[in-house]
Amino acid sequence: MEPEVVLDRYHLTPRERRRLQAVVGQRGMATNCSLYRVNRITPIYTLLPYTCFVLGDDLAREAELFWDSFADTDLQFQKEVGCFAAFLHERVRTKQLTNPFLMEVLGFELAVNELKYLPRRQIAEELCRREHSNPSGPLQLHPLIRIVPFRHEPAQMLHALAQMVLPSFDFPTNDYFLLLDAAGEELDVKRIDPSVGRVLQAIVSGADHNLAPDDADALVQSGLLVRGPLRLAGEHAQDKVGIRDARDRTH
Amino acid sequence: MDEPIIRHGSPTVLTDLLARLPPLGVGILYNDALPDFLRSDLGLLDYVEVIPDMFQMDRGPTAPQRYLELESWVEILNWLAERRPIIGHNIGMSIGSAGRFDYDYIEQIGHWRQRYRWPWHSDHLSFITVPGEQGNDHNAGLAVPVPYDEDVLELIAARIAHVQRTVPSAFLIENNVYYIDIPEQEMTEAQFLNRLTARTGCGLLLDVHNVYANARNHGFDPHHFVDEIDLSRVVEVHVAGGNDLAGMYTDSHAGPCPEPVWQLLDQVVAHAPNLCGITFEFHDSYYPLLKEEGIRAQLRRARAAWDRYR
Repeated sequence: MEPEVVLDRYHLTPRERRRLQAVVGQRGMATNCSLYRVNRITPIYTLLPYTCFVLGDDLAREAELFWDSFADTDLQFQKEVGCFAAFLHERVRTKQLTNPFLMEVLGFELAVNELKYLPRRQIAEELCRREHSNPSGPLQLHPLIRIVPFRHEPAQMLHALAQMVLPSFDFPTNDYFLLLDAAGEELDVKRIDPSVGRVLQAIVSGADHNLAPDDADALVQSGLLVRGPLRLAGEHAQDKVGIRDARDRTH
Repeated sequence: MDEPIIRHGSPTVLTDLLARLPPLGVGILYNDALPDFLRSDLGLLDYVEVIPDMFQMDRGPTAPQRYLELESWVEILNWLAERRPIIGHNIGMSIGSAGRFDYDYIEQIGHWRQRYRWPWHSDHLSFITVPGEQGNDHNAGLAVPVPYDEDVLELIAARIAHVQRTVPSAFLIENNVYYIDIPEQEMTEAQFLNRLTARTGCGLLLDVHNVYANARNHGFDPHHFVDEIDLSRVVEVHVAGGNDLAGMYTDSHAGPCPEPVWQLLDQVVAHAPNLCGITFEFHDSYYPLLKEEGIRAQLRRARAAWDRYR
């Protein structure tokens, strides 16, 4: 795009135009552009290291495409990562990106991050307050638990990734489910029976789970499920987003 | 500290306040690699500087509960606050943004200050927030330098006055690193900093690594620059390391400080009567390079400079 076309988008004084035209050709602009890339890849690489590793040589291309499609970032780490994850999902869904391991690794890291940033004490207190208060309420996954489906054997996958080794195509494939439990001091990760995993996943997604009352009670007793509805302060805040007052209050 | 004086302070009163700030000594800017080191080596530190933005999630100005604290991070902060003074170092004011200023963000800084009672806090002489295509604000992805012009000085002075009214502790502005030369500026950087601090009564957080990087990239004498600064305004100094990127030397906080930065520190410490702290900054990704002994060496070096003149 011609510089004049870009500059005409803004109300600029002649001096501002001269300044922008001068600095855009300076060698420091290459550094600024590199710093922009560094600052935008940092949240992704910090919170999704295995996803980046699995993307391998595709990472640079996917990141550039993502930044082109999502320039209006506020660089809040979780939001940035959530948007990148949505971008990758769309790329995979539309078959513009193929990677046999990507979705399960991404799902695992998103779940870990989500648990890491939850207000655990607030949730625990809320659960204590509500214990036995709503014995017939709708079933919900315990708020400090996440279920992550895998196509490849997850223990082998995660072991390989921890060693910074790409997962092997020889890893067994099946319907696997990992349970991530952040209720204790340390995050507990374990494989669960696929039939339980499918039920829990159905409950999370609101699908029909066909769970017998006795089985539901057993899962509540085991701590995997709770009786809802449980909404914490600030949850689903995006549902209530209003119109932003963008007026400059300095004038 | 007498909070009403700060809330209704004139520049003169605020300047007097700088002389009454507690001389703390040597600190470190908190990062995610540091908790274990802080538990074992807190004795090397007189204070810990924190970026409040790291301890909260900002869900945007329109969210009903905009700021959510990150519980596990705040637990560490509370542990530190029981043992050492906490200093606030903000990264989100975007004090030089034309036409936009986030008043709610300043209120939030006030909440953090109320909890941790820091004697001073700071942010950068730059902007990061720019208007997006859809009318929303977005992050420029890097701290962009402001032009050193009269109208920019007026704009920033008014915003600093607002910060001083809202957050009842001394406010410091940090000199920026820049990789471009903005032509036709009305003042030099030193003139701008001196006039801004005199006009508002705010202090200066002099990042001597930024001075070093700017001098190296733009070909001036960093010691001459320091000579031009009104050092009575300097309350805190940042020291750090950097590295080369795309043809420039950057303020990347990449490990140990280069030797010229220590020389600049000596020059400042010797002539800054109101200096209260020397803060070592490094990026957590460089922890494997520094390791514990490397951090200790940087802190000891800073301590030696502090002790030489205090």
